[in-house]
Amino acid sequence: MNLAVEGLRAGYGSAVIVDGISFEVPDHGALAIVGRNGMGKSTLLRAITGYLKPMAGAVRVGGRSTIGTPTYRLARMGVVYTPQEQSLFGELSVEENLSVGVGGRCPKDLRDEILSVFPVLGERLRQRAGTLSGGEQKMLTLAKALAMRPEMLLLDEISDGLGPGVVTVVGETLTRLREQFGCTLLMVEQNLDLSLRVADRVAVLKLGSIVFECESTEPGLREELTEQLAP
Amino acid sequence: MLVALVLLAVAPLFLGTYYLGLLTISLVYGVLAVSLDLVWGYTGIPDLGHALWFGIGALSVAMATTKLDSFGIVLTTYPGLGRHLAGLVIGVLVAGAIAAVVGILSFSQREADPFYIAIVTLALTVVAGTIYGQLPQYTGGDNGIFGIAYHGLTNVQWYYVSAAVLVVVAAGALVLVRSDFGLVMRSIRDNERRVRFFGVNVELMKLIVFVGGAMIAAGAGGMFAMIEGFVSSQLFDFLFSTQILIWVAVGGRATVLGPILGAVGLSFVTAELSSSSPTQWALFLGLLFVAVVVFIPDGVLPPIVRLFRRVFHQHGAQGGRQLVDVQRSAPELRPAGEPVATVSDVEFGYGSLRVLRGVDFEILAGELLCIVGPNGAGKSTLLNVLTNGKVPMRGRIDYHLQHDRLAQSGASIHRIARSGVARKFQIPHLFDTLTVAETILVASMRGALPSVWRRTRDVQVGRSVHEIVDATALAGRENDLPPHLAHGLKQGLELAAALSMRPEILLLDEPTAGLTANERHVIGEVFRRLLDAGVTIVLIEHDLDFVARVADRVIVLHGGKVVESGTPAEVAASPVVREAYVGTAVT
Repeated sequence: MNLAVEGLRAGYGSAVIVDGISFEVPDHGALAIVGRNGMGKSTLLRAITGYLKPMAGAVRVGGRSTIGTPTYRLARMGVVYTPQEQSLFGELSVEENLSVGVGGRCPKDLRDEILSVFPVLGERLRQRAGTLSGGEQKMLTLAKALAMRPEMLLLDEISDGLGPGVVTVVGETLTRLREQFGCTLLMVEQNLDLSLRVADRVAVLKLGSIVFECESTEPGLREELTEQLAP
Repeated sequence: MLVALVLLAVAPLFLGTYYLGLLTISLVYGVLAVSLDLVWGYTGIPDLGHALWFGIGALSVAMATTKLDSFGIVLTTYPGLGRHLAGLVIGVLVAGAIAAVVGILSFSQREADPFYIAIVTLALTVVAGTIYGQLPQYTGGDNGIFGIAYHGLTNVQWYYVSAAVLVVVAAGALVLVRSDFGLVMRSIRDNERRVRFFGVNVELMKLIVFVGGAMIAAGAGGMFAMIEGFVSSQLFDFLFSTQILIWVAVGGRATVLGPILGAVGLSFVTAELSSSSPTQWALFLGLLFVAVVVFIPDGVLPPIVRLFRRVFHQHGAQGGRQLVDVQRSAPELRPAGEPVATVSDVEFGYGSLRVLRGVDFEILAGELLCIVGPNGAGKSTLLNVLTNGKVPMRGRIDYHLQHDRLAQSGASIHRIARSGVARKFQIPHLFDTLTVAETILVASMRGALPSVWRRTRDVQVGRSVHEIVDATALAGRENDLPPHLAHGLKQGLELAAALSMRPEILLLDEPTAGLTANERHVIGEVFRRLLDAGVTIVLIEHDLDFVARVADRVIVLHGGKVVESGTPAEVAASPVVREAYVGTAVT
């Protein structure tokens, strides 16, 4: 499933945050969008997933226009989005959280596979998600998304608040998700290492527009990006 | 506004006796609605039994001006103004006293559910309505007490008295809600838990507003009795309480003028409907409420104001706030190296889960102490237990601050915050209706009782706050609301707010999460300067490069215990840290 965004404009009230963005993530591709704070990264994801009604532009998933498609329908199409803040059900247990997106009990083999990625969650299946530590909640957010067997995964700063060891594991998991299941990835990140490791293209978002885009294997890219991200 | 005042002044010239009477009473209801708006609209206290206070005021006037027999029949009435006013004053005081008792009992429960007060007030209003009928010798029983109106004023004079009282109350309320006090009221409504960590005594603030609201309502009740000349159980009961809530909700919660509009407008609509279609009027009224809730959930006034502003291109009358630099002389702090806090053998957990299993360490004055450890090691819980006053299951925490020596165990959250312990949370917890500058202002008050009339426009902040604001792209967005801020900006605001408390100890949970490399660099420099000024900083951090650059000392938390401590270099070499940060599970 590919994702095509054309001339997307979105914001809140009269404030335009994302201004005429166009890009494409091919089927099985992975694009990382990096940028400083307040540049519109989260707003972009919200507009793509229908949480926020775009002011103008087109979003196509698998060739089909999804503007106006309710978020739950996108999720059923296999487009899974992990917001940056608060996407868990705090009163439900870890296990129940994993099951929610599946629409029934999470199958055991899938569950075990996910828990092998995050063993710490396996020890806490019955614990309420709200009482997990910040980093564990992030792990559960990703685990919950994986349990939905996404065809396209939209990640908003998934590495935020995770220890470096866990970030490495997250990177490996995302790479495997692409290789084994052909999942299309769009990730918004602050973590350049993770972005470069997982994505095959990197784009820089500045003041609501994409100002730079290239292959993640480009030599000297890291320095280039650091330069781009400086104020 | 001016138009409304002029209309109010000339209304008696155009209205007949009936409508003038209706308008007079609806103005009294307006006062009542304003009092609930302060309590519920601005401070978020869901007072479901607000009619109780109104009823007490009315009954007090009735009791002061009549003599009843044991069946509640009026034997004598005393028409003099003196007794009426005495009844009114006593009613106001009694209502205030009862509200104080109710408030103290309901608010002071530690971690009390905010709905506790809703249940209590609801129960009180229902009970009051029932008791009323049982005590005819005081209340007139089911018939109520009639014939208690004060006849010393004509209808038109009464109208002007009510109008004047309403204007004074509304003007006072507007000054209050725009003052610093009003700002703290809103912060409590938006996020009661968070504002405690800014040093605000939430219980006291709520109590002041709740008692004040009850007293204004009782005053309105007393006026009602003097004008209408009767009091009955209906003035106390749940139905009337609901009606007041509806006036506020339909008019526009937290707008002062909206609830007045709601009270006056709905009084007229109700009166008209009940006379034109006596059987269906309640149905029409119900439909009207549903329509308002569905189509204009903010109430009637806010959309009108927005339209007005758009047409006339006016900006908010409130005006923005700005941050201004002040040079502060460095506070006297403890000499470097002395312990400012001692954590001894602390155990803590949630339910059956034990997160901290005997943590021991000291925080030394003027150092930057980093707490590292894998996700789930208990780092945030440790900061919680340092600041939230919850008694640990075992062990103790003692602060040795410059001006304040206190044992953490059992001290309230605001007390710990006021003595100089500031905290930034891992996940931003901010206030939906407080702008960036307002959040910083509330934090910088550090719990001092805010002025009820002064509105601070220039928020005075030290250099470090300004640097954080500039570095995290918050500059120029001082008057934006948190829901419009990106995640990283919220993190920056959390940090700026904690710094503006001028803390002696700064506890920071992942201050650099969600920030870019450049922003981290600036923050590191700000930390260094704070340390030079003698501030003690404790931070939880995953970025080991950052830790190595800024930390004086590092402790490693794992499995709820301190497993390593030392300089960044020493700790980095330890096997536990290596394993934890390479990602293999530590057993």
